[in-house]
Amino acid sequence: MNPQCQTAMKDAISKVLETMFFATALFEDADEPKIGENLPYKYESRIDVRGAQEVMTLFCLSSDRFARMITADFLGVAEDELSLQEIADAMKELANMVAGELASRMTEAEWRLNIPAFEEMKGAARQYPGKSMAAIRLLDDDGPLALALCRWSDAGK
Amino acid sequence: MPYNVLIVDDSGTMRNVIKKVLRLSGISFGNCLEAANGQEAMAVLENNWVDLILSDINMPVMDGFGLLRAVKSQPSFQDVPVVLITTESNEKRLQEAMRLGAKGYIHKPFTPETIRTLVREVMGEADESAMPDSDEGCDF
Repeated sequence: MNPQCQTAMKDAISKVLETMFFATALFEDADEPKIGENLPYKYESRIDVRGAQEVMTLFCLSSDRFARMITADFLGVAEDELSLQEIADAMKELANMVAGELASRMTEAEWRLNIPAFEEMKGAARQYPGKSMAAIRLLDDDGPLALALCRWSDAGK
Repeated sequence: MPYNVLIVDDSGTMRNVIKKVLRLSGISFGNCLEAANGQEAMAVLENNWVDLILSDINMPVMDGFGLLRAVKSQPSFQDVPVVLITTESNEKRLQEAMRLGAKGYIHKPFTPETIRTLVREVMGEADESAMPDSDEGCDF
Protein backbone atom coordinates (compact mmCIF):
# COMPACT_ATOMS: atom_id res chain seq x y z
CA MET A 1 0.00 0.00 0.00
CA ASN A 2 1.03 3.59 -0.58
CA PRO A 3 0.01 5.99 2.24
CA GLN A 4 -0.16 8.97 -0.13
CA CYS A 5 -2.48 7.03 -2.43
CA GLN A 6 -4.62 5.84 0.51
CA THR A 7 -5.13 9.45 1.65
CA ALA A 8 -5.69 10.72 -1.88
CA MET A 9 -8.28 8.04 -2.54
CA LYS A 10 -10.20 8.82 0.65
CA ASP A 11 -10.21 12.52 -0.29
CA ALA A 12 -11.27 11.76 -3.87
CA ILE A 13 -14.11 9.46 -2.79
CA SER A 14 -15.31 11.95 -0.17
CA LYS A 15 -15.40 14.80 -2.65
CA VAL A 16 -17.24 12.83 -5.33
CA LEU A 17 -19.77 11.31 -2.93
CA GLU A 18 -20.57 14.63 -1.30
CA THR A 19 -20.68 16.73 -4.48
CA MET A 20 -22.39 14.46 -6.99
CA PHE A 21 -24.07 11.74 -4.98
CA PHE A 22 -25.09 13.77 -1.91
CA ALA A 23 -23.82 10.95 0.30
CA THR A 24 -21.29 10.50 3.07
CA ALA A 25 -19.67 7.33 4.35
CA LEU A 26 -17.20 6.14 6.93
CA PHE A 27 -13.83 4.96 5.66
CA GLU A 28 -11.34 2.41 6.91
CA ASP A 29 -8.13 1.00 5.54
CA ALA A 30 -8.78 -2.44 4.11
CA ASP A 31 -6.76 -5.51 3.25
CA GLU A 32 -6.49 -6.60 -0.35
CA PRO A 33 -9.08 -9.29 -1.05
CA LYS A 34 -7.61 -12.75 -1.51
CA ILE A 35 -8.42 -14.64 -4.69
CA GLY A 36 -11.58 -16.67 -4.17
CA GLU A 37 -12.47 -14.86 -0.94
CA ASN A 38 -16.21 -14.35 -0.53
CA LEU A 39 -17.00 -10.65 -0.64
CA PRO A 40 -20.22 -8.87 0.36
CA TYR A 41 -20.32 -6.97 -2.92
CA LYS A 42 -22.52 -7.42 -5.97
CA TYR A 43 -21.18 -5.00 -8.59
CA GLU A 44 -17.76 -4.04 -9.90
CA SER A 45 -16.99 -0.87 -11.83
CA ARG A 46 -13.47 -0.14 -12.99
CA ILE A 47 -11.53 2.33 -15.07
CA ASP A 48 -7.98 2.64 -16.37
CA VAL A 49 -6.14 5.93 -16.16
CA ARG A 50 -3.27 5.79 -18.62
CA GLY A 51 -0.05 7.73 -18.21
CA ALA A 52 3.04 7.61 -20.40
CA GLN A 53 4.73 4.91 -18.30
CA GLU A 54 2.03 3.49 -16.07
CA VAL A 55 -1.60 2.54 -15.90
CA MET A 56 -3.57 3.20 -12.75
CA THR A 57 -6.68 1.04 -12.45
CA LEU A 58 -9.44 1.85 -10.01
CA PHE A 59 -11.86 -0.91 -8.99
CA CYS A 60 -15.05 -0.02 -7.11
CA LEU A 61 -16.76 -3.07 -5.60
CA SER A 62 -20.24 -2.16 -4.35
CA SER A 63 -22.92 -3.86 -2.35
CA ASP A 64 -26.42 -3.78 -3.80
CA ARG A 65 -27.46 -1.54 -0.89
CA PHE A 66 -24.74 1.04 -1.59
CA ALA A 67 -25.25 0.95 -5.35
CA ARG A 68 -29.00 1.53 -5.00
CA MET A 69 -28.54 4.21 -2.35
CA ILE A 70 -26.16 6.37 -4.35
CA THR A 71 -27.85 5.77 -7.71
CA ALA A 72 -31.17 6.87 -6.18
CA ASP A 73 -29.52 9.98 -4.73
CA PHE A 74 -27.77 10.66 -8.04
CA LEU A 75 -30.99 10.48 -10.05
CA GLY A 76 -33.41 11.71 -7.43
CA VAL A 77 -35.64 8.63 -7.71
CA ALA A 78 -36.76 5.87 -5.31
CA GLU A 79 -34.36 2.96 -4.80
CA ASP A 80 -36.95 0.34 -5.76
CA GLU A 81 -37.59 2.05 -9.11
CA LEU A 82 -34.02 1.69 -10.36
CA SER A 83 -33.08 -0.41 -13.36
CA LEU A 84 -29.81 -2.33 -13.61
CA GLN A 85 -28.78 0.02 -16.43
CA GLU A 86 -29.19 3.04 -14.17
CA ILE A 87 -27.16 1.35 -11.44
CA ALA A 88 -24.47 0.44 -13.98
CA ASP A 89 -24.29 4.00 -15.33
CA ALA A 90 -24.06 5.49 -11.84
CA MET A 91 -21.38 3.02 -10.75
CA LYS A 92 -19.36 3.70 -13.89
CA GLU A 93 -19.70 7.43 -13.33
CA LEU A 94 -18.59 7.01 -9.72
CA ALA A 95 -15.44 5.17 -10.86
CA ASN A 96 -14.86 7.78 -13.56
CA MET A 97 -15.06 10.75 -11.21
CA VAL A 98 -13.09 9.15 -8.38
CA ALA A 99 -10.35 8.12 -10.83
CA GLY A 100 -10.16 11.65 -12.26
CA GLU A 101 -9.95 13.16 -8.79
CA LEU A 102 -7.40 10.58 -7.68
CA ALA A 103 -5.17 11.08 -10.72
CA SER A 104 -5.18 14.86 -10.25
CA ARG A 105 -4.15 14.38 -6.61
CA MET A 106 -1.42 11.83 -7.36
CA THR A 107 0.46 13.46 -10.21
CA GLU A 108 0.73 16.48 -12.48
CA ALA A 109 1.80 14.35 -15.43
CA GLU A 110 -0.49 13.85 -18.41
CA TRP A 111 -3.18 11.18 -17.93
CA ARG A 112 -6.00 9.85 -20.07
CA LEU A 113 -9.09 8.27 -18.61
CA ASN A 114 -10.39 5.24 -20.46
CA ILE A 115 -14.10 4.46 -20.71
CA PRO A 116 -15.30 2.82 -17.47
CA ALA A 117 -16.65 -0.74 -17.35
CA PHE A 118 -19.23 -2.43 -15.14
CA GLU A 119 -20.19 -5.99 -14.35
CA GLU A 120 -22.12 -7.99 -11.80
CA MET A 121 -19.68 -9.85 -9.57
CA LYS A 122 -19.73 -13.61 -9.19
CA GLY A 123 -19.31 -13.24 -5.42
CA ALA A 124 -15.69 -14.29 -4.94
CA ALA A 125 -12.68 -12.02 -5.31
CA ARG A 126 -10.75 -12.41 -8.53
CA GLN A 127 -7.14 -11.63 -9.25
CA TYR A 128 -6.61 -7.92 -9.69
CA PRO A 129 -3.72 -6.99 -11.96
CA GLY A 130 -0.78 -4.78 -11.04
CA LYS A 131 0.74 -3.53 -7.82
CA SER A 132 -1.58 -2.64 -4.96
CA MET A 133 -1.49 1.07 -4.09
CA ALA A 134 -4.60 1.61 -1.98
CA ALA A 135 -7.55 -0.28 -0.55
CA ILE A 136 -10.34 1.60 1.20
CA ARG A 137 -13.53 0.16 2.63
CA LEU A 138 -16.66 2.28 2.91
CA LEU A 139 -19.10 1.30 5.61
CA ASP A 140 -21.97 2.48 7.74
CA ASP A 141 -23.60 1.22 10.94
CA ASP A 142 -25.18 -1.68 9.05
CA GLY A 143 -21.91 -3.01 7.64
CA PRO A 144 -19.66 -2.75 4.58
CA LEU A 145 -20.91 -0.71 1.64
CA ALA A 146 -18.10 -0.78 -0.88
CA LEU A 147 -14.43 -1.47 -1.44
CA ALA A 148 -12.22 0.75 -3.59
CA LEU A 149 -8.94 -0.66 -4.88
CA CYS A 150 -6.22 1.21 -6.73
CA ARG A 151 -3.55 -0.70 -8.61
CA TRP A 152 -0.68 0.35 -10.82
CA SER A 153 1.00 -1.49 -13.65
CA ASP A 154 3.39 -0.69 -16.48
CA ALA A 155 1.77 0.86 -19.54
CA GLY A 156 1.20 -1.64 -22.30
CA LYS A 157 1.37 -4.68 -20.02
CA MET B 1 -35.83 33.53 -24.09
CA PRO B 2 -35.25 29.86 -23.15
CA TYR B 3 -32.22 28.14 -24.61
CA ASN B 4 -32.29 24.85 -26.47
CA VAL B 5 -29.47 22.74 -25.11
CA LEU B 6 -27.90 19.58 -26.50
CA ILE B 7 -26.48 17.24 -23.85
CA VAL B 8 -23.93 14.75 -25.17
CA ASP B 9 -22.86 11.86 -22.93
CA ASP B 10 -22.68 8.11 -23.47
CA SER B 11 -24.39 7.55 -20.13
CA GLY B 12 -28.15 8.07 -20.18
CA THR B 13 -28.04 8.36 -16.42
CA MET B 14 -25.47 11.14 -16.60
CA ARG B 15 -27.58 12.97 -19.20
CA ASN B 16 -30.50 12.84 -16.77
CA VAL B 17 -28.32 14.16 -13.98
CA ILE B 18 -27.11 17.05 -16.14
CA LYS B 19 -30.73 17.88 -17.01
CA LYS B 20 -31.59 17.83 -13.33
CA VAL B 21 -28.67 20.12 -12.53
CA LEU B 22 -29.65 22.50 -15.34
CA ARG B 23 -33.13 22.70 -13.84
CA LEU B 24 -31.69 23.41 -10.41
CA SER B 25 -29.39 26.07 -11.88
CA GLY B 26 -32.36 28.38 -12.43
CA ILE B 27 -31.46 29.12 -16.05
CA SER B 28 -34.37 29.09 -18.46
CA PHE B 29 -34.01 26.16 -20.85
CA GLY B 30 -36.39 25.16 -23.65
CA ASN B 31 -35.77 21.82 -25.34
CA CYS B 32 -33.18 19.53 -23.83
CA LEU B 33 -31.93 17.39 -26.70
CA GLU B 34 -29.71 14.38 -26.12
CA ALA B 35 -27.04 12.39 -27.90
CA ALA B 36 -24.88 9.46 -26.77
CA ASN B 37 -21.73 10.50 -28.65
CA GLY B 38 -20.34 13.12 -31.02
CA GLN B 39 -21.63 11.42 -34.12
CA GLU B 40 -25.20 11.31 -32.79
CA ALA B 41 -24.83 14.93 -31.70
CA MET B 42 -23.99 16.01 -35.25
CA ALA B 43 -27.15 14.27 -36.48
CA VAL B 44 -29.20 16.11 -33.84
CA LEU B 45 -27.66 19.41 -34.90
CA GLU B 46 -28.66 18.78 -38.52
CA ASN B 47 -32.33 18.71 -37.56
CA ASN B 48 -32.67 21.04 -34.58
CA TRP B 49 -31.89 24.55 -33.50
CA VAL B 50 -29.43 24.38 -30.61
CA ASP B 51 -28.20 27.33 -28.54
CA LEU B 52 -25.69 25.47 -26.39
CA ILE B 53 -23.89 22.11 -26.42
CA LEU B 54 -22.81 20.50 -23.15
CA SER B 55 -20.61 17.52 -23.97
CA ASP B 56 -18.66 14.87 -22.15
CA ILE B 57 -15.13 14.28 -23.47
CA ASN B 58 -14.66 10.59 -22.87
CA MET B 59 -17.16 8.80 -25.17
CA PRO B 60 -17.03 5.95 -27.69
CA VAL B 61 -17.54 6.43 -31.46
CA MET B 62 -16.77 10.18 -31.47
CA ASP B 63 -15.44 11.82 -28.30
CA GLY B 64 -15.86 15.40 -27.15
CA PHE B 65 -12.78 16.60 -29.03
CA GLY B 66 -14.07 15.00 -32.23
CA LEU B 67 -17.41 16.70 -31.74
CA LEU B 68 -15.72 20.04 -31.09
CA ARG B 69 -13.71 19.74 -34.31
CA ALA B 70 -16.80 18.69 -36.28
CA VAL B 71 -18.93 21.56 -34.94
CA LYS B 72 -16.27 24.18 -35.55
CA SER B 73 -15.59 22.93 -39.09
CA GLN B 74 -19.19 23.43 -40.24
CA PRO B 75 -20.24 27.04 -40.95
CA SER B 76 -23.86 26.36 -39.96
CA PHE B 77 -22.91 25.18 -36.45
CA GLN B 78 -19.60 26.86 -35.74
CA ASP B 79 -21.17 29.64 -33.67
CA VAL B 80 -22.95 27.23 -31.32
CA PRO B 81 -21.04 27.41 -28.02
CA VAL B 82 -19.62 24.11 -26.79
CA VAL B 83 -18.91 23.52 -23.10
CA LEU B 84 -17.09 20.33 -22.19
CA ILE B 85 -17.90 18.39 -19.05
CA THR B 86 -15.02 16.26 -17.92
CA THR B 87 -13.31 14.44 -15.10
CA GLU B 88 -9.95 15.30 -16.63
CA SER B 89 -7.94 18.04 -15.00
CA ASN B 90 -4.97 17.85 -17.34
CA GLU B 91 -4.19 21.44 -18.29
CA LYS B 92 -2.75 20.54 -21.70
CA ARG B 93 -5.93 18.72 -22.73
CA LEU B 94 -8.15 21.49 -21.45
CA GLN B 95 -6.06 24.16 -23.20
CA GLU B 96 -6.31 22.10 -26.39
CA ALA B 97 -10.10 22.11 -26.01
CA MET B 98 -10.11 25.90 -25.67
CA ARG B 99 -7.79 26.23 -28.68
CA LEU B 100 -10.20 24.10 -30.72
CA GLY B 101 -12.99 26.52 -29.86
CA ALA B 102 -14.61 25.28 -26.63
CA LYS B 103 -16.25 28.11 -24.70
CA GLY B 104 -15.37 26.53 -21.38
CA TYR B 105 -15.22 23.34 -19.40
CA ILE B 106 -16.89 22.04 -16.28
CA HIS B 107 -14.95 19.71 -14.07
CA LYS B 108 -16.80 16.70 -12.62
CA PRO B 109 -17.84 16.46 -9.82
CA PHE B 110 -19.78 19.70 -10.26
CA THR B 111 -22.47 21.60 -8.41
CA PRO B 112 -25.50 23.41 -9.88
CA GLU B 113 -23.72 26.69 -9.05
CA THR B 114 -20.76 25.72 -11.23
CA ILE B 115 -23.04 25.01 -14.19
CA ARG B 116 -25.08 28.16 -13.66
CA THR B 117 -22.04 30.43 -13.45
CA LEU B 118 -20.38 29.05 -16.56
CA VAL B 119 -23.53 28.80 -18.66
CA ARG B 120 -24.54 32.37 -17.82
CA GLU B 121 -21.04 33.54 -18.71
CA VAL B 122 -21.02 31.61 -21.98
CA MET B 123 -24.51 32.83 -22.92
CA GLY B 124 -23.62 36.41 -22.01
CA GLU B 125 -26.10 36.72 -19.15
CA ALA B 126 -25.62 38.59 -15.92
CA ASP B 127 -25.54 36.20 -12.95
CA GLU B 128 -28.34 36.90 -10.53
CA SER B 129 -27.31 34.60 -7.75
CA ALA B 130 -30.76 33.41 -6.68
CA MET B 131 -31.18 29.63 -6.97
CA PRO B 132 -34.90 29.15 -7.46
CA ASP B 133 -36.40 25.93 -6.22
CA SER B 134 -38.40 25.51 -9.37
CA ASP B 135 -39.55 22.69 -11.61
CA GLU B 136 -39.54 24.92 -14.67
CA GLY B 137 -37.14 24.21 -17.52
CA CYS B 138 -36.15 20.93 -19.05
CA ASP B 139 -38.91 18.41 -19.09
CA PHE B 140 -37.65 15.06 -17.80
